[in-house]
Amino acid sequence: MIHLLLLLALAAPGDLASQVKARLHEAQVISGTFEQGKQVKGFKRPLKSSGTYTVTKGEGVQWNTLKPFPSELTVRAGDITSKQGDKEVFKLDAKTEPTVRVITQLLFSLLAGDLGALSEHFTSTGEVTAKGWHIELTPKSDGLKKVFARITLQGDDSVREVRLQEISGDSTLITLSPAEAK
Amino acid sequence: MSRLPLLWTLIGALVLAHQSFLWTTGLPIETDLLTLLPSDTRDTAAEEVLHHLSEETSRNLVVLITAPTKAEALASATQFASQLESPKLARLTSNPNATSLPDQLAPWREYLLTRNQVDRLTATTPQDLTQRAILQLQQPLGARLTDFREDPLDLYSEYLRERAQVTKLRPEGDHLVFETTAGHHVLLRYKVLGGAFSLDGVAHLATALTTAKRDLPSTTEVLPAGVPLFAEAAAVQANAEVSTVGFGSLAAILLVMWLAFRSPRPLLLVVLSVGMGVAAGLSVCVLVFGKVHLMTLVFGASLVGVAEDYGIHYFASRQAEPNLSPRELLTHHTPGLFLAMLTSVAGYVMLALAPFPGLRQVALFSSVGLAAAFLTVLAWFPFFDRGVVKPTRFAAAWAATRSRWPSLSLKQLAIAVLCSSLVTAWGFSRLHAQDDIRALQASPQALIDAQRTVAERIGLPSPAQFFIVRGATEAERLEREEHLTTQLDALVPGKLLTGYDAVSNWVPSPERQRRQHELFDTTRQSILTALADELEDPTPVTLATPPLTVDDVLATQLGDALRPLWMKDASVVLLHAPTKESLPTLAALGSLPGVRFVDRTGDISALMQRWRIGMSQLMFAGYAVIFAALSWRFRGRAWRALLPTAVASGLALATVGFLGEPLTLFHILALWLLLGMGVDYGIFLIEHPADGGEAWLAIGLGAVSTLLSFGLLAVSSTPAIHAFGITLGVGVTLVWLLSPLSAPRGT
Repeated sequence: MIHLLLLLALAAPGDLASQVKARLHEAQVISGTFEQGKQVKGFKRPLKSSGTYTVTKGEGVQWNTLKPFPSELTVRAGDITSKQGDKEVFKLDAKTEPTVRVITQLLFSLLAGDLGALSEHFTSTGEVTAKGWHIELTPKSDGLKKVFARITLQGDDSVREVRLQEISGDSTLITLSPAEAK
Repeated sequence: MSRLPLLWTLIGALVLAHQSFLWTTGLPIETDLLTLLPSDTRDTAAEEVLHHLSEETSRNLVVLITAPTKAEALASATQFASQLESPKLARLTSNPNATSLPDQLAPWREYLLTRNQVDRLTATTPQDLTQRAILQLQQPLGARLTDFREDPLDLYSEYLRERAQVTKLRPEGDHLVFETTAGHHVLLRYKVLGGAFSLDGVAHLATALTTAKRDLPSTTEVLPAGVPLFAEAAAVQANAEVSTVGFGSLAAILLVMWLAFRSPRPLLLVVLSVGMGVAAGLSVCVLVFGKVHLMTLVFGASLVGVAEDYGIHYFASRQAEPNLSPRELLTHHTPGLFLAMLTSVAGYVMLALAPFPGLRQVALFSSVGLAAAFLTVLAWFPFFDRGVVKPTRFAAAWAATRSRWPSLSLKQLAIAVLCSSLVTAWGFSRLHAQDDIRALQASPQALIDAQRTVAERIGLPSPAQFFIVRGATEAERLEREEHLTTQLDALVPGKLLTGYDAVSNWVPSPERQRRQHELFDTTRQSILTALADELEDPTPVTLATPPLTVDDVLATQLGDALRPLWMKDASVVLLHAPTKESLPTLAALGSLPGVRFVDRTGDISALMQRWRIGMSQLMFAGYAVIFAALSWRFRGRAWRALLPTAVASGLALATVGFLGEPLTLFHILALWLLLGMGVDYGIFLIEHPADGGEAWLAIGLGAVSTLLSFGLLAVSSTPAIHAFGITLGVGVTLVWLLSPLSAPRGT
């Protein structure tokens, strides 16, 4: 009887999310370095870039690329800004472009491993082991289905790896090395 | 004369048949507010555009649901939509399975750049562009719409993003959502089905909307907007006013007829003549115009109080001359009645001169109605009216007041005219003219406020100010639009307007497409060349689509929005929230080649002002003509018939001044009606100076019902109808009371 209850509890939706949540280290700010390799259709080699990132709960994400050339991406609830030095490359405002909120939320949730928030847009499967956890996300909404085939996340007490598989064939692998968790 | 009864019976049968057909199939009522607006024959192009735009919007209704959060707004919208049950409303939802706009326009993407993109691409060096392409690839979540070799900078995504900013609305499920400082909004769209609005006095749409929002949380705001709501409100209001004016006038007639004649026969016959008048007026109106306008019905209801005159005259004369047979009596009186009918009809015909469709219908309706009532008296009364019309105490007492009424000497008259002139001058000094489109229609303030709020939040274009652009070819038309919109772009930063809708926003002119394609091509080539080492194959992937045409775009999702702007030989550029200060600048842009600026509000005000001044000046000519006609018959006494009307007209206008109401064209037009009717009283009193007062009785009975029916028009909430009511109510009363003063006293 107890086994049956356990099985039911395990099968219950949101279970995976709570297990992952239990594993993740709760932090207000996560920051560290990243390495990104992007395989773009038509390019001989993956496009490599690296830099630092900061994820602040309730605020957003700062994504500073240092190599091959520096640029700053600031992702907040209300807007997304990209700068090269002092020059603004683009700015998306949620007031005029409501999808900005979705993108912001998505990036934040991916880097923070917030499966609860991700479940709004994705269905998730995966497993939690003693060493860490592994999640595969499949988009639910039509908008995201057009762009992503699937997204996989991997981590332990923080998110270590994000792999984005696009419909177009392009794929991105982001490796995160959180320096400290406050 | 002998064939008239038969002929009129035949016509009466036809009218009756037509009426029963009309009322069983539903009276075709015109509720379109735009048909009320004056048509300026010099401006047919603007008329066509307006007609075209109104066709597109006349059946559309939107409901804007606002809540503090998006989830609440969506939940309320879903609940509201499921609660709103009306057989007259069909919800419009976009088809989620339809090909999306990005996919639909994709074949032409190499031609499509926004003006900002063109500026940026031209101003940036090739090296910077290459770096930007790489940078874009490195963005996390940097999903693209195009392959790198097709469009290295993914300019198409950027193009769509910038173009999408023309509207805040974004589809979500089968809802359209957006956000403003007021909260989260969901827009529901409906189309009104079925024929004209019924005149049953019930606001079906408004009731359905109110019922549907009853159970929504109190934090949710529901604002409906759209032409059908205004049309329905006008129909409900007209229904109430038609009843008030029509039944009020009828009750007045019945009362005075009963007091004066104490017999059902005169009463029934007068009602018969009025009924024939109204029925014939309505039938002819439907046959000529196809539809009857609400304004005609309200105004036409006052015909009841005018058309009864001939029947009353007939019975007053019968009562005074009991020895004459009806036929002899009519032979004797017909010329006088005919003349009176003609002057009244002439007054109404003057209304038809002004280019207001509503007034023309009123003029036709009333002229036909008066003539029909007159012919009914002539043709049927002698047949039905057998027996005597007994004298009554009330009639005798009324007739007797004539001899007690003061008749002034020339000197006294001069003093009286001087005094009334002073009062008139005083009143005139307080008059202020107003030539405002709003005089034609008074909609409930709540509806106006809701409409304004919804328009502001969604960013609906102004229906009053727009540009018309013409060109010999599609290419020329688009080029001229672009000349114009480049100038309009310059006004946006200064907040003179927030934007504009134009077909050329989506379809650049062929020349511009050529240049944009060239810029796109060079940019792509230079980036691919610079990155040749990194790429498996640096040759660009190109499309071989011919340039985008207007027909191509009309076949996409944009078709519904753009079709109203693109007409056979002209296109329209609509403006978003142009300010008052922008009008001179916008008007100046009307001088660009092939471009015309239309300011409907300004044009209509100017037109109303022109006609107000013109009809006022023409009034002197009208008095001169009437004076000439009267002189021909009454020689030196002609002025006695005209003076009361002139004095009453002045005092009626002065009253408007004292009341503090603005003077409009409609007050002036009412004075023309007063001239046509008021002179009758003078004519009758001079024609019968020696009688026992039966002319005075007939005038009195006629005047009481006339002033009552016009006076009731004054309660109308439509300012134009109110203007007629107040002017004629005061005017008719004064003419009636003043006429004996200047009439020569009988022996």
